[in-house]
Amino acid sequence: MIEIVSFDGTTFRPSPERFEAGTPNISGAIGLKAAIDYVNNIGWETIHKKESLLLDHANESLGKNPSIKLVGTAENKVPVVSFTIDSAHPHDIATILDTKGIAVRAGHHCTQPLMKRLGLSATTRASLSFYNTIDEINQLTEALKEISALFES
Amino acid sequence: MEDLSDLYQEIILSHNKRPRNGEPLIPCTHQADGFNPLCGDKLTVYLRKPDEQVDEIACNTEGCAISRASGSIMTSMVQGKTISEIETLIEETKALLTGDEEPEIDLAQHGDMAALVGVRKFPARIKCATLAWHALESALKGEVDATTE
Repeated sequence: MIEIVSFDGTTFRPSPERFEAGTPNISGAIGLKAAIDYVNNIGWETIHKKESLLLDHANESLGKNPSIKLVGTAENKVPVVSFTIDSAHPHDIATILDTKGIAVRAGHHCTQPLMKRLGLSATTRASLSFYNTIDEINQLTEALKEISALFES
Repeated sequence: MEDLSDLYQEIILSHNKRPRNGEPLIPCTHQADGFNPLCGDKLTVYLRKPDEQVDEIACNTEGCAISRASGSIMTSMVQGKTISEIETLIEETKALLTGDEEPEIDLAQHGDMAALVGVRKFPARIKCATLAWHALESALKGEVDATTE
């Protein structure tokens, strides 16, 4: 932040203000408060319970398809589900899911050394959150059934 | 799902499952790698081109169905062609996949590559379809001796 600006020169306020922009990120701060209120209203306990439920269902539902290999099955993990299907490349899986209204990430997830360690070139990853539903996971499972059948045919 | 079946036609799935000329061609006279760091598609194009004609070609691809099929189709089309014929093929393929104007498909001209025209509706995947053709261009430009050992 400046102190005095003229054609002869500029002086700045003392640190730390001199390194700050004049107008703070006001709308950002208001948005952050709204987001915190939103999460607090639902409650961490509820969020955790819902996410555990979704993760369990995803593991069980996807695990029934022998073509799907789940990657990462640690007990206390957040509800992200990475997987591979031998016959179908993750980017093909992601494109097809996208056309069915299901957004996933495909690729090496910025973890190339881990992919190498796992002996994989890429995975597909569904990242769930408390606002997802059991029905949406079932849609994913159904879509993956179609995809593995398509590429295995 | 009409767009999707355009993209994953039987012909694409078949080339993906059993790429033609998919094994490395060693020794060869020309070779180039194609790599897309964003999606991880990786391939190598090998040529045996003693003079103005490509006698043999191979494309070894590690990647998605689109990149594998495109590489496989590319080798089938290029095999036995002269350099000037190949240059025409490259231009026609670029127009087919990335040209501003909606292309008119001519099966006699485009061959199996016509099956890949559906990729135009999936902008994120166009690079998968062009990768092998870019590597072919690089391979034609530079002779290598690394693979003649």
